[in-house]
Amino acid sequence: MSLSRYIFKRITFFIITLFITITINFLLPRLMPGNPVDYFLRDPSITPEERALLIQQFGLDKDVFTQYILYIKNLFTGNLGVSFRYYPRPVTEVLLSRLPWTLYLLGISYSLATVIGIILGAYAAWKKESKIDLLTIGIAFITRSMPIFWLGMLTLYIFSVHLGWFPLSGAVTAGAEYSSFLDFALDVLRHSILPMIVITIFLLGPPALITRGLVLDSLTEPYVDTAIAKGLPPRVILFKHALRPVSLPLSSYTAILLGYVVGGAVFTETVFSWPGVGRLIYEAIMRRDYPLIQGAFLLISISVLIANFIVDFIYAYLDPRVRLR
Amino acid sequence: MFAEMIGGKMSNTIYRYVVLFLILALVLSEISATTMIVNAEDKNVLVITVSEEISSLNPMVGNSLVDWFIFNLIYDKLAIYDTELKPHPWLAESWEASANGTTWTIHLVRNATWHDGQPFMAKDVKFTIEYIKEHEIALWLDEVEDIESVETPDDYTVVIRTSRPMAYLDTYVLPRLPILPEHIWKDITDPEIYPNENPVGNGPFKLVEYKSGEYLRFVANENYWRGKPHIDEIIAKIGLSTDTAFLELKKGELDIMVLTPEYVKEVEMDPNLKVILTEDVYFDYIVLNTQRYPLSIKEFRQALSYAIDKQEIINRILLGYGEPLYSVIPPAYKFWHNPNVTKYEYDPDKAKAILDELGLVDVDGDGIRETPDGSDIEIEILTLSIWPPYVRLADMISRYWSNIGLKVSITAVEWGEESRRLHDRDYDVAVWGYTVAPEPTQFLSLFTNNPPPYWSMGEWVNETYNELLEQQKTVMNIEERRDIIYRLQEILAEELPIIPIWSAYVIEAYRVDRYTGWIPMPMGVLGIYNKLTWLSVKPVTQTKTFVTTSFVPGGVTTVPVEIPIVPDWVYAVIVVLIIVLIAMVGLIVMKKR
Amino acid sequence: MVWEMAKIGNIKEAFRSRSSKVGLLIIIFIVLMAILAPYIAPYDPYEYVGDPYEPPSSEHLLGTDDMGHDLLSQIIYGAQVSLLVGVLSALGCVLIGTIIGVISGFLGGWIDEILMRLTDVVLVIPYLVFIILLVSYLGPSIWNIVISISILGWPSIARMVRSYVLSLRENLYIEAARAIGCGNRHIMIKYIIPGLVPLIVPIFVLTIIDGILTEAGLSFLGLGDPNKISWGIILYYAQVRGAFVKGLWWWILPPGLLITVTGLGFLLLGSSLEEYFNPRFKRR
Repeated sequence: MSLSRYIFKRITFFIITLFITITINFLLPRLMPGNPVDYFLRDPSITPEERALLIQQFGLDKDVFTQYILYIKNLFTGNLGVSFRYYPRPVTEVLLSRLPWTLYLLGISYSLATVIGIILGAYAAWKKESKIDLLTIGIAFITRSMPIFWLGMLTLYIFSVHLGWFPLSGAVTAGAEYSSFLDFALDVLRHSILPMIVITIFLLGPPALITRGLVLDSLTEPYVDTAIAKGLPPRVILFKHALRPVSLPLSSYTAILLGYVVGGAVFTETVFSWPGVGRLIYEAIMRRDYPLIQGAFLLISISVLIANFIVDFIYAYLDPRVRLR
Repeated sequence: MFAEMIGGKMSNTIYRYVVLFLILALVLSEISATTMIVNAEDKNVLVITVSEEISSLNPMVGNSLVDWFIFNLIYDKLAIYDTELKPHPWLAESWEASANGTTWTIHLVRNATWHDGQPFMAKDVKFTIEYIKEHEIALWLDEVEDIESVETPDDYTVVIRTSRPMAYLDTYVLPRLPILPEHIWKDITDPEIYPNENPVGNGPFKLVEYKSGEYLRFVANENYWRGKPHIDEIIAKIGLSTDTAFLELKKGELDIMVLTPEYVKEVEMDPNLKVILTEDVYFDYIVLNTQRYPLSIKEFRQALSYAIDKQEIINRILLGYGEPLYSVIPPAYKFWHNPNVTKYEYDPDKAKAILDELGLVDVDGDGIRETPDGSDIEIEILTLSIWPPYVRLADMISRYWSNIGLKVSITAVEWGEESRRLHDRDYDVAVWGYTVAPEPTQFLSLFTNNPPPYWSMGEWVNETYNELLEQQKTVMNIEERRDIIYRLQEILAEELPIIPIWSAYVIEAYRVDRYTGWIPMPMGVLGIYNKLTWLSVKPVTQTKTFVTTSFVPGGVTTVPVEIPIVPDWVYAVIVVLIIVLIAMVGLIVMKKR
Repeated sequence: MVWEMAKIGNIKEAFRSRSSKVGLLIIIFIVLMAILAPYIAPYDPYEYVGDPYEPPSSEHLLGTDDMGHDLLSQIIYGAQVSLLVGVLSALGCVLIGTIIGVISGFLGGWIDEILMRLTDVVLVIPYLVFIILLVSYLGPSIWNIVISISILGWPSIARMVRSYVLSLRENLYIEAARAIGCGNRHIMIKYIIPGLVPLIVPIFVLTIIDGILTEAGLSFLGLGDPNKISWGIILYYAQVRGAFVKGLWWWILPPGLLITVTGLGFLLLGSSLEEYFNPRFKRR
């Protein structure tokens, strides 16, 4: 099918999924046993004023449909409610103040992991059964079975506590005054190296293994022999030809993985006290800050959706075969 | 041959780049650490930690420990609690009450100013009290309820008239009521929503920076009426877990923190750290739902109390850092605490005997006692899942009670759920805790069984108790009042609507090499986190250094003393890792040839 | 005939590779540890048998925890819950995924469309965040954890099953059977389902790992079942009761190591099986 038809299909899917996600987010607290919405009203630590505000904001005194309309309306004006814990700061503001940190951490780790993973996987396939092959598979296997928070704590302990190479917590040194942006950037870098390494290691596995499998397959293809016969330099053979079929499975893997990546962020941010959305979710859950929990969940779901959509787009553009799915 | 070439050349290059990048990053970032030392060198910065996010910067609304900590720094009150928990003059220089207790005259200091330069005057006090009443601000309404009118005969005198004798105005209201600057708050029409993000206070510090999830920054108030504090800045890191904070304390990135008992040993091993223990006004206990059978029987509750070994509980869960409690008023209140109430020393045989006497015996031989109608006696203990010591406590108690022949189950829920169930009277036994205010009336009135939505403790009702409680509110002679308060404690210890378990010590640790002047107080915020400390703390030496990592090239730093809490296995692992790394490098280099 | 279709061949061949043997050995060891726990654990893991925070000694080979429980006994018993949650949640995922995949692939049409959309939606939901949400709403208990994992973990399985079923539909045997007049249900039972087994078994084995890891993660965050003992819960108490700071490696290393090793066991076995039954998933 043509590119435009494919795009149309993807946009439709995006909108439908968005709608479903929003609805799930709305229904969830209302369907749960011990209805958390009730908590809003009966938690004795909430003042009558807070209670009144909540009722008004969420329309809790009206029927479900009106609540739903109110909810959608609020959503489109960017109103995700008011956080309990950070009262009276709105949820949107709290989320947005933490989001950049998570994007920074995950963005770089994820990109690094994908690139390193692909390179490792390609070499592992090329030099099958060699040490690098064993190393790649070894890392992939171990990180698949190991709890990320455990490795995180061990890393923190060894490198921050005992060796003292890196700070113990946070994204910046508290209260520090910077003489230039470079200082700030370096401070952040220093704080983010450890969590980034941990996340990157854990994200290496799937791209490496997928790449390895696909390159193994494609290496048997006649066009590779042709390329070799043509006298193309080895690097070109590997990365231009053998890696061609990788883009399709990699894109679908990307879509799935984005959801898991955020989960990994929750653990890593908690262990390293990183002030991102992952740790915010953990804190919000501990404090039963329901508006914040739901807001965060929505934000993440939508981000993942958007990221998926973008990735689909890119690959559809790059590889015409994708559209034939 | 091709393969060799590709493998060797390409991966070697990549590897080199990666290593280069890492080294560069490390070096650059350590250099930046040095730059920051330079910036911090000429200031005395106290770095502390607070356990969680603030809930509100608005003193009319904020009610968590962290909020109190902030208000302590930026707002002053009319009086302050001293180490004996008696009210001590602060913004109020002196005060007197009329003989019948309905008129109080308060004299204010004359040199206090708000952070924006405006003078602090009587009109601020009058405004605050009337403001609270006018907007019916829930958090403070109780305190000002009985106040009928407030007059300001001159700029620095306040006359308060109450509708009935308020014996506790000075012990309860003066040290606790926040005073708002009238010139700012008079325009705020919705006090309970107002975020108060740039608070204008009159305290020893000003809040200048707040990074959510990271830290708060305070600078000293140069014009503070009692003189500028000895330190220039306070940075409060937010939400560090106890173990991370402790590691930072050891490393020197933190100056003081609140600890839990298991860290005391580590502190004692470190010559740079010292522990301060303070008695706490908070205590933990179990609430019994006296409307459910057989918890409704007084002797049954007493048997439950005999079955518990409070000292063993303290030894296991608090590692000994606490006191067993018998009265509901903790011993931190030396004046009000009644040391002679019934004690219920650990005696499981006596507990069993009482149960036998009550006719609650094990008829069918399954090890569990039955009620007269034949059903097993089952008790559900409700506890907080989020606070491990509570879970452990519930576990231990369930063992003690199983030993005397009862069937016990534990349900761990989160805070909102437990609050709700307590509120709805839907529980058998619950583990809970409470901070007792310095005015005992407030806590003791929780036992008068007010119907929801009021917060009350247990479902127990006792006429004598209620009468006495009301009565003492109007007794002006403090010794007489104490007698009545003693009597109330006796009644509670006899009837046991709650079984107090322990009052844990507040354990705090600080670095001895940075600051000194810590003043522990049972009530201020917590231990050494209190206003007196912030005013008296000062650097230990004259050289102002900022401690950082051990990697700094040159420069003046203090390096923490090495403490061997790292066992040998860590070294082994590191050696192995290095070997693996070298091997990898070697392999790749070899491939090149 | 059907077996030929599925290309199962000799089961023994599947276990010929060294990695599957190692994997199987590990699994057997751990399972035995879980089953025989009451006999091999030196103490009752719920009893206070020592002082708090004791280092390893001849009485307590792995020392004690913050309350005086014997850690070795806790770790041995911990296998029970960790394995149970892993296996049950994998079962749930596989069950739901298979049913949806078969229905979708076999019946096709608009049912297929709807089910596939549903799959896509669930796939896009961030797994861990949603599970945390679910478990915190439902309450911390083993069953809630198993249910939550099952609700979220089935989509990729459904997809795989569906593509397999789709590939089968074109198969000659089935066409022939239809020509003779066999009904849908008969075809499903006799042809499709037996072919599913070699596909599903490796997936099941591999999904167990995720179940174990998710339970460990949830427990570590404090959302585990506080009445039970699992490796994740042991690590939770290690963290909140200061074991990391105090350097109590005997408390920290074994649970994490066991989780990793158990996971590796299932991974080795699962990927060998997968490789064998579906040669296009070749790992080696």
